[in-house]
Amino acid sequence: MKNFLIYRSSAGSGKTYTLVKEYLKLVLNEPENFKSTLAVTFTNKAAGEMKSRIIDSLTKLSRGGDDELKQKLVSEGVKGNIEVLSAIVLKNILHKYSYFSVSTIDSFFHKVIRSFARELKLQLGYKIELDEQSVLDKITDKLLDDAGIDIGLTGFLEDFIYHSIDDEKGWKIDLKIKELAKEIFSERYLMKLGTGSKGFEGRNGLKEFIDTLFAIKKEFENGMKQIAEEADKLLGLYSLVIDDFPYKKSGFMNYLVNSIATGKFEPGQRAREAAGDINKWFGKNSKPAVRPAAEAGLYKLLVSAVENFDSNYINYNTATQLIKTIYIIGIFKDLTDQLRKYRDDNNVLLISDINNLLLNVISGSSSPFVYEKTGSFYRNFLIDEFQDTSTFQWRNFFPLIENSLSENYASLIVGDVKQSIYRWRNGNMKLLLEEVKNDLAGFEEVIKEETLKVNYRSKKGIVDFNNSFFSTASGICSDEAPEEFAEVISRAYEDTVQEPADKSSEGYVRIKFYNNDEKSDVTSREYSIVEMISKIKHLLQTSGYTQKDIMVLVRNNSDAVEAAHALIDARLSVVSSDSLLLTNSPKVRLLINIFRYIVDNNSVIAQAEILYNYLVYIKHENIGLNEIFTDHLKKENKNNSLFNKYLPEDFFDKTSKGEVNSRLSGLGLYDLAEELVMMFGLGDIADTYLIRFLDVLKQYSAENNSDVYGFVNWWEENKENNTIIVPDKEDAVRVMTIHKAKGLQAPVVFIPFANWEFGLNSARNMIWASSEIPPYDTLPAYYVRASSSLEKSYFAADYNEESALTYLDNLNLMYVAFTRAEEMLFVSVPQKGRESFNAGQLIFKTLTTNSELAKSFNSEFYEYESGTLGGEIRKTGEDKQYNSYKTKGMVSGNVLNRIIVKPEFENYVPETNIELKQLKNRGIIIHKALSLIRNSTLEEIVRATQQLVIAGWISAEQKTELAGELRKILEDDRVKKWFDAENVMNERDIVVPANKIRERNKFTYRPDKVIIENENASVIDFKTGGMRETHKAQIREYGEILAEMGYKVKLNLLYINKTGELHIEEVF
Amino acid sequence: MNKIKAINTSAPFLRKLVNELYAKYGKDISALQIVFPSRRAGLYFKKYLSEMIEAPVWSPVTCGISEFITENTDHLIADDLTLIFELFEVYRDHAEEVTFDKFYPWGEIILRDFDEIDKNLADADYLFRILKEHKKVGEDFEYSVSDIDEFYRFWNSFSEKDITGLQDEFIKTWEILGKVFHKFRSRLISKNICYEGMAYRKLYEKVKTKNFTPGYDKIIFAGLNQLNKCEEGIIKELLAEGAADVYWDADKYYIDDKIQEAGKFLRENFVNLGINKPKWIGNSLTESAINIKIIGSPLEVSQAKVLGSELKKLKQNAPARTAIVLPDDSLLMPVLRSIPSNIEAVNITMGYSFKNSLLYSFFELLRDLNVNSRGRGSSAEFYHKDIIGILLHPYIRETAPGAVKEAVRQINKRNIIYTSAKYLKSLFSAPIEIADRIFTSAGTAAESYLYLADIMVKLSEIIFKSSHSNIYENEFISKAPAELNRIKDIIDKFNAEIEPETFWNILLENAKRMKIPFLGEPLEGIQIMGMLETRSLDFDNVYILSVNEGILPAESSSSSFIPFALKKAFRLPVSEDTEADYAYYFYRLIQNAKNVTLIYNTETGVISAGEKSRFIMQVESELAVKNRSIKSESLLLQGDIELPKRKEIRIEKTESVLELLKSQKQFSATALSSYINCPLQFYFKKAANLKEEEEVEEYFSAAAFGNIFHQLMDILYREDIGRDINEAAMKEKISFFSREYESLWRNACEELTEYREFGELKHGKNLLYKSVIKKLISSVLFNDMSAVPFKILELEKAAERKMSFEVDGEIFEVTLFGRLDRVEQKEGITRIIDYKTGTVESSKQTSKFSDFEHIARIFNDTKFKENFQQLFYASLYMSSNQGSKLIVGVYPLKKISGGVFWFEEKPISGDKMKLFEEALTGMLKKIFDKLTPFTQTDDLEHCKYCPYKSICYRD
Repeated sequence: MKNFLIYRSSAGSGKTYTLVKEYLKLVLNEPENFKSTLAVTFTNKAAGEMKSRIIDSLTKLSRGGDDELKQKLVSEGVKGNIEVLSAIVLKNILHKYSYFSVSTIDSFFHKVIRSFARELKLQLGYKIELDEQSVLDKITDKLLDDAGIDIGLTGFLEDFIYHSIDDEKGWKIDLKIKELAKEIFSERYLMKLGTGSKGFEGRNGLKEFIDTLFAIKKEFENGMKQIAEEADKLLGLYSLVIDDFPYKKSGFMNYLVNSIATGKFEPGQRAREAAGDINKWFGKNSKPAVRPAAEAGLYKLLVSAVENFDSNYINYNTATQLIKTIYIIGIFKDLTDQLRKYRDDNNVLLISDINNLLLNVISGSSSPFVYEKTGSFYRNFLIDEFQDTSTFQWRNFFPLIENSLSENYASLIVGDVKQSIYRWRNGNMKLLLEEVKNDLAGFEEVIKEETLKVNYRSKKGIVDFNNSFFSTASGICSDEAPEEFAEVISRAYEDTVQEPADKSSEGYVRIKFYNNDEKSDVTSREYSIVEMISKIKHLLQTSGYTQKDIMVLVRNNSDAVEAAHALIDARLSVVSSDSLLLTNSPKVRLLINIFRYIVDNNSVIAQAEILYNYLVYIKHENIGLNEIFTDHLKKENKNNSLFNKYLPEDFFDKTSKGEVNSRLSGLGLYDLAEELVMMFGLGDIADTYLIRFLDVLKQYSAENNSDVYGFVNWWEENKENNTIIVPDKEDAVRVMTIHKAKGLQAPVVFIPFANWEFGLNSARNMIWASSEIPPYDTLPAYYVRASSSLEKSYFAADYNEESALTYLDNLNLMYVAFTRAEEMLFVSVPQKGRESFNAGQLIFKTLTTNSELAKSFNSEFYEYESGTLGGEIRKTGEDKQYNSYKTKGMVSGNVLNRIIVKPEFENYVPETNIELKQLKNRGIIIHKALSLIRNSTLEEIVRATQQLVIAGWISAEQKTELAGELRKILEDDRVKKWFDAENVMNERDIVVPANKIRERNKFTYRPDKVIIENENASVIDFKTGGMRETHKAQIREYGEILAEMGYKVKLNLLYINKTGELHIEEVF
Repeated sequence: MNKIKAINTSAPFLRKLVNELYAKYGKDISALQIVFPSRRAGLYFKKYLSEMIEAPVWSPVTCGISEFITENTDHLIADDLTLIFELFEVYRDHAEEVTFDKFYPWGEIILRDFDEIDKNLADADYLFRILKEHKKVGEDFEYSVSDIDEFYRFWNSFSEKDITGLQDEFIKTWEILGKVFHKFRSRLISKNICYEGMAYRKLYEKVKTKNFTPGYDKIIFAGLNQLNKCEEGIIKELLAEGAADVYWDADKYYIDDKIQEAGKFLRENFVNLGINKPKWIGNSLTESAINIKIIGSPLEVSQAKVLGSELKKLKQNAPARTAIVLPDDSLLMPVLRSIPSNIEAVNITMGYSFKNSLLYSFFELLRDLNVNSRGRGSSAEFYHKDIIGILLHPYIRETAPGAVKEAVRQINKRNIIYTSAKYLKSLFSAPIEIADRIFTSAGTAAESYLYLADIMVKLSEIIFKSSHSNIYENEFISKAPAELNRIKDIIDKFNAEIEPETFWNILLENAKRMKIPFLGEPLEGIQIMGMLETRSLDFDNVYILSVNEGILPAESSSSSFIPFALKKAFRLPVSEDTEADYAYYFYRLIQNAKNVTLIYNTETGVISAGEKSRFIMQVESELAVKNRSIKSESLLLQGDIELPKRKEIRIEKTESVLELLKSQKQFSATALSSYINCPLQFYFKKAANLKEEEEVEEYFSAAAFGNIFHQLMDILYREDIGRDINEAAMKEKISFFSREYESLWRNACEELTEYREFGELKHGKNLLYKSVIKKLISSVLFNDMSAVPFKILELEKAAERKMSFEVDGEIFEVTLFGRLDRVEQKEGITRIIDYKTGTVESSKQTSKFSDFEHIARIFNDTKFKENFQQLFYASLYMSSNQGSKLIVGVYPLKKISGGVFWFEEKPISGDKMKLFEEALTGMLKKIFDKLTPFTQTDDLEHCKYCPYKSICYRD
């Protein structure tokens, strides 16, 4: 295979299997190939899975297993003995594991960046910052901090706020910036306006343009209002009222006078007709004054209002829409600059920087050089989830792939446009749809496209249903979408129809619509939930499914919370992002409460919460809640308070009751938590929440510091992002968003709220729009709210395209959701009443339009049902490789008092004196120096002092002084002779026999100096400070040992006192 | 004579070595020098020696290989900081402008590259000339290059087409390095110092030219693995001279199988050193019985907890033969916190990153405090977040917990953003000596050093005195001065060139890389050690944590200026070599063990993959298959997942609850509307009296914004109470306002003492808000202008009334209270106006309902809370101004252009007022009703802004 393969892999078509198979083909044909093959996917989890699938397959193949795969490989051209080849490859991979390149796109790209750090002028040791929002918060604050310093900026920001106030959006400019400016991290921004964009100098160039916009807006409004005012005057003049004209309050005169005055400029059908024909103004019963009034000018006014509208409204509306967000665009550049500074100052790279930075490396460089720097050389590329690949990522891959293709090596990409749901994360499914092929022009011969047709995941009933459903639904969707962009939807769904792997197997689908019940006040959502719970319970009781076989899919997190709570209330076990939150654990809360209390013991809420969590949730004490919540009122009488009575005694200071033990406040964050776990006895079980929380603390300390106060604030902001990690085996219903469910599957899938919006939402969605028409050609593009009124603006094309793509996004979500089901799919559509195009409507239309589906649709009960409930249940293969490890409780101890550490700088204290003479450490330093000196020569002294400088015992400027002192000591004859003796043992160990040791574990002794002359040994030990008996005892011990060795011993203690005087003490 | 104890082959390597050497040399063993991979092995060696002997002997000299090299060279090896600074001195002569702190990390890499060039005897001249002269040089390169293919590949990438920008950048740096290499070396020699690689090369040359005389009878090299070219050359020469012997600690398993990277270096060594029968190659890995337990566990702390649970099973006496190996030193703390009580003694022997210490975080805080301060010396002002950070750091917090907390509270309460040391001092109830030293700002790098040194002195006094200081933190404090001394030397030399910021950056950069070598008493207790510390040592029970790719084997610090291909070409070590080295450590450590527990992190990171180590896979799929006596077991931690059901909070109205309610002096509109919002919230607020915490208000909070606005309005109209205001007066007011805004603003802030700090704003968001307030007030004044003539009756008027009612035969009387922002009179109608800074749900409040229905909704739906408040105020006002015609409205500041929003244009009817008051009484009765408990609201929307939501688990 020397092809560029494009695999289109619909849901359940064995995408990972195919990737693994292709990988194996590459490496089995040429075992060294694994070094030059790069497989990338999106998440580390997916990469890890692929790695282990490859290794597992190789292991099995090498042991003669997995016949099916073996046959397949043989039939697809692998030659030779597969068992032997697999064994070789496996061994190669296991022992050259770093060459085994299966990773995420990000980590591969990051590796490249890292090796170009110097050339890209990056600081070394930078960190990757994942939390873009927190960075944005910081740079926004920083930007606002410059108000008052940067005059231009100040004025602009003031205008920004004034405008927001006028626009009724309030004065909290920081919130607005933080909401809108996330965009600067996106690829769209970089492509449209980012660095290097022509004509975008930020707010400086924008002022004039904004004035122009306001002028356009004013001119039109004034023109129209003037018309309305004149009309009003004329009415007065002829003593007419609106009711005197046809259709009264809903007629054209109301438009001319009232609607226009209140800003509703668009003429309705009646107004247009009246403007077209003056005869529409009068009826039989018209007041006589109507005609003269009309002729005197009212008619003309209406005509000019309609004309003005028709010729200027688009311009006006474009300006009006633009004004809403133009200010934010103005400071994008300021923020980008701040961001750059932030990166430099903090030495971080944002995750979103990687792709962009890499463009500089890769686009400008020849691929070989890239490889040389990274040290890995790739010829074959396998790219997974290609529909989610971003433009930049593809551009970064492109030169490498181009290079490999031109050298006749194989590569492949796998993806499914129908499952592209990450457009908001820069995913560009158009790459897979068409652009890749365009980019690889010149390689047409080797490009091969293949569709993986078989669905191995779902039973026949489900596959058949989805085939019919999405064939029709995609058609309906593209009919709904703006015409010129509708085609993308139908093209994406061209390959919808799949074949079920097992043609005989059943499968069940049920779709039900619900309405609000006005009478009983039960909402359609509540109905939907009640139904879901009863179905789940029924399944669990009757058909042998367990809870983990069931998956509940929802559109967003708040839906997930609602569904999860309902299931929990129905006594089902649930795994959902909400139930996994650390902040839901009473133990975690207790710790946080205590942290808060330690930081501020005036906090009565913290105090009340400590008591509440500890007594009610942890100790299960039977105490009245009122007592707990009012305990803090007993401040005066502490002995009587629950707080002091129930909380562990150690928590408080022994001397001043009520104060927190100062030992606790002296601990770092992590230590403190462990101490509290011990103190409050929270380690009774191996509580996953608690252990994970300790991890959070550890990580926080490593990234920030050990300060409790900072953590408490951080936690407030970040508690929603910290969850436990649950093993997949946990027997519980999984509740998750469709986005998270991508790549997962379950025997039974419930979609309880299938009514999400399909269209753009102006409150949430923003789009980039551009126009060639002046003055809107000032900037290459604008960031505007995706309001439907853009349809009547110069930005209509961009709006319509985005609108079509948004339909596709939402259809894709439905596709991903529906195709997760293996055996059963339950969908319910709670209807809300008047609604815009949404999932529910699409489902309804599809079920009624598609003749096959319509057969099973009961239009009376609004219910679709196909297949049969029950049937044989496919047991999912358990992960048998690993057994569970359980711990009994959680060990939380304190061994600090059992630690043995021998301090190197014993007794050395920090001090600032320059003069050696005044140093407290002087004695220690001299002692150390003497131990380094081998003889009394000047070289030795110099060498020793320099060594002390290098080790940091003294500073460089103290060196000379120390040398002088040492010289003085060594010039002393009594000392000199010891240093210059011929046979000296300097700091040399004496080993004593193990069976005769004097002290436990003490096998060696080390006198400072022993001078040996024949059988005589003279021991000298250096001491500082005053004379002590212990010194004598110690040197006598040396003496005894040396005597045992057969020496005649002489013992001397050399004292150097604080003033540097020497004193020699002979010991007997 | 000496008894030679019989030992089996799987005895610890060092014991075998002692046996062998003692048998061979007897007492003359003293005259040997024994060189190990690291110094630590010597201790164990001596212990085994002591088991052999009958009488004391002089110990042979033991040392690590790098000590062996350095003690035999003439130049002292300087510390990295000094070296990098020297390098910087040379480098900057050749490169564009670069500051030292930016250079520091790059300097470290250059230094490492030079080090490797020397240690591996690469020809630096050829290496650095390659690119520049590649066009004219031809074959004369080839003989100096070992891997010619790699070399040509690299060369080709440069000769191809045009040279790209990045390649150009690369060449620039490359050329500089070539020039710097020699100059740097001669500069060091002139100062009599060197880096390690230089020392290696020098000794190699000395040995090679036979200028080396060993000071010992024989030099024994024992347990070495990877040898660089210098080491290899030295050993080879000494062996040839008969001055040395070598002993290896190897196993057939990885020596014979060529693909086993663990044996890579040993195989090479045997060939290169010409060793035919290496001593010793054992066969433990293929024959011994080893229990290997592999446990996967999510993230980090849980690994330590798994370890703890395993250690509990450890038998008595076992600790001495037990090692806990931490390839990732950041796990030290969790491990120390997870050692069960059956373990008596624990000994730490490892390099521990200074970065993980409290002292490091303290340094960081000091840096921030100084770098973010405005002005220097005594006039310096510090940023509140930095001040609080320092005060609450455990070191400082512990010195005077009470005083510190109080000071922090004051800073928050007074909205201090920047403040001087002097002011700060006034906040301490008792003087804190160290704080005085901390809150002064140093102007130069030299001063910064003194500042820090001074703080360190004081700090060490405090910490060493403290009864609960812990031993490993103390170790950091003792060792920090040594680091400071190095920095001081550099500052002394270059004070003028170094900014205080640079001082702090150097300090932190340097500290970040620092490892504190904990030296324990290795012969006692359970050993906690790093991977490198295990070299040459053997244990029966081995626990290794973080057995994950990137940690074990360690990710080689791939930062290098020398491209991979050139490294290969010049035989410089690449990442494969590091991995092979680690493979050896790994297998060597388990080959003589009886029980091995490998714990790894099962979780994948975002950037780092965090997969389990290749060594685990190798063990599972090869070792355990080959040696059937090995029992390997793979497990995954399953923690307990228990989340209790959320409990409902319901407060029954017991006597004591009622007592609390009765003791309430007054009820405001806000308090009562919180009852509508959630009865429990009302209970917390009014009965339990749980006061909300004071927030840090770095910027205008909504409250500050509103308060200052109110105050300004008050100041503006204060003089006019009781007066009619006409157009002229309004005009004058408008112009006065725009003229005097600055002083009006100051007055307002001054009057509101808690916002005094906002009086003088020079920059920042608050300044913008100041402009906003100006704009808002202008709008109000213009709106007022269109309402002239009118008369101001009251401003910020406190109003109250009493209300009594009967519950269960008991009469209660409560006081209702409110503050009316503005009461005015126009055309005979009294208008009560409330300024609202928050969002006002005005559209919902228009009464399209009947009076009865309207009132019912007000008491049921929190969306009507403004309406509730307005009628409440009307009721207060009415009670002392019977018969007034009254309308009420709000000024929604978010929609200021619309002017006052009147709930009803017509004066409130007596009937409606009556309905309201009846309903209010009804609510009060319910509040005091014994049978109606305080319960939680069902509507989670109501909890969004509730200060007590965390009590209810609804945050």
